[in-house]
Amino acid sequence: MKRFLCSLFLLAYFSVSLQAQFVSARLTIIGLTCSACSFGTERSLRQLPFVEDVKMDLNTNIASVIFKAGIPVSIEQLVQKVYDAGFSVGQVMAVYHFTTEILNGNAWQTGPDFYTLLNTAPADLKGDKELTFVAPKYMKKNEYKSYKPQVDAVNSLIGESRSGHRYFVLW
Amino acid sequence: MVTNQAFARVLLLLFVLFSLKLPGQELFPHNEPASNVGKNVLAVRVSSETYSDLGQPRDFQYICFRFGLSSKWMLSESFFFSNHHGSLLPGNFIRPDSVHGPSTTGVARGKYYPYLFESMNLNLKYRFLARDSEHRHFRVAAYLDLSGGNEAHAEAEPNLMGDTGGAGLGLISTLLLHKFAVSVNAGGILPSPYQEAVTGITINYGKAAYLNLSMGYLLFPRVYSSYKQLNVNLYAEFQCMTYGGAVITDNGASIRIVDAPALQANSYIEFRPSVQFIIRSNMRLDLSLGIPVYGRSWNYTCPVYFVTLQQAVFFKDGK
Repeated sequence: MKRFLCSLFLLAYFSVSLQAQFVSARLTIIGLTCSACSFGTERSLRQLPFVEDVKMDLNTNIASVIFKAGIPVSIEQLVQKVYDAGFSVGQVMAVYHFTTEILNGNAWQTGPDFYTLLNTAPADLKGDKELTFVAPKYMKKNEYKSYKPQVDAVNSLIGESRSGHRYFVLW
Repeated sequence: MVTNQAFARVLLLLFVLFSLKLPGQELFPHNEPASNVGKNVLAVRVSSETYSDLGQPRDFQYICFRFGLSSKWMLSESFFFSNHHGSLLPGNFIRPDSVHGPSTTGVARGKYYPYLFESMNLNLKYRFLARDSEHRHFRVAAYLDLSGGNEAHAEAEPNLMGDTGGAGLGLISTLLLHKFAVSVNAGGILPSPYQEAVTGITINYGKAAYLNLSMGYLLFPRVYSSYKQLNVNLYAEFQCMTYGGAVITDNGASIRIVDAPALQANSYIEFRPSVQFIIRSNMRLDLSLGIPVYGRSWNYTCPVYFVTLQQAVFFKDGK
């Protein structure tokens, strides 16, 4: 286990930025029922410069977000916009487009942000892959509990991110 | 005054409506929910209240600007206008009495007053707890009210929305379930006295405590298809108020209050049913009525009719 965590740390630290980008995301928004609340949340999401379009399902409160090509995407800012609108996030799933780069182990870097996989990476890393984000603000609190020991172990080994944001994801 | 039978019918109707499997709503027309408007969102509200005071039409309007400083903090600024008071108390407000000393019976009802700007109110609300899940939440907020009013208000009941100056503190708990929304707003008012420099009369209003209960549900649509659908929400709100009696002085000398229920300690419960229309998911129109259930408020005469319009304006984040 210790060896695995050390390899995660080394990979996160030395990995080269991949020329990859998020294509789209699906946010499950919780704590609301009415269309006025959904409208306010959609308006909040649309303020982000990397958001191309938002489609809100008013009955399930799932926001389908399409990102602009060529503009760096911040999932943290996307989630924060939901909280700014006065609601919470129950699940974040985002489609990440991998190009020819090879992911080494379970961690990689895109721009200033670090990504760490909490489950085993698939062999094929080309094309669009949907990632589920793991963090207290990104999922229901009772669901996060099962991932917390893993997240804490990686964080204690690597320490605070010196730049950008550190994300934990699942395939 | 509604009869007990009518009140029982209202409660039965509410029970039936809340038993239906309908999503709840918490955009209460009269009581604040624990939720705030979103960050960088300005909600502009214009509200009108009207009733007949012994045949004299009384109007009260306010415009309120509500701004989301963050998801947790909201600042509201309201400006009030009405024809509820004169610029000074009437000349015969205090009557000499050689036996018992100077006394007052209050201000006669049904008098004409000009329509004027009254005062303003600043409200700061902090939502400190939010437990969200699918189509439900439980939220708790605390708020502070500051009012700069100094009106010739000759009723013991303080009111930080126009009539009296002072400060108020309160706590709001709101539960949104899939079927209904319910909210309890409990608070207190520490009013500042009305001081009339010309005559030297001071009215110290009673301290007040209130407990308001609000319930709401969505009547239409049953299933959402677009933001353009008209939403119709129904609300039932109860205002429970208790306050102390007024203490009046004339240049420091105590004034006896005789046969003036409006200046005495009082408690009442008022029922406020409302229908609300949400237009294009961004504008709301509330139509509402105030009817007494137990006792009465002496600040106005029921039935009171309310119309409120609110529009949200979204500002771009400065980041």
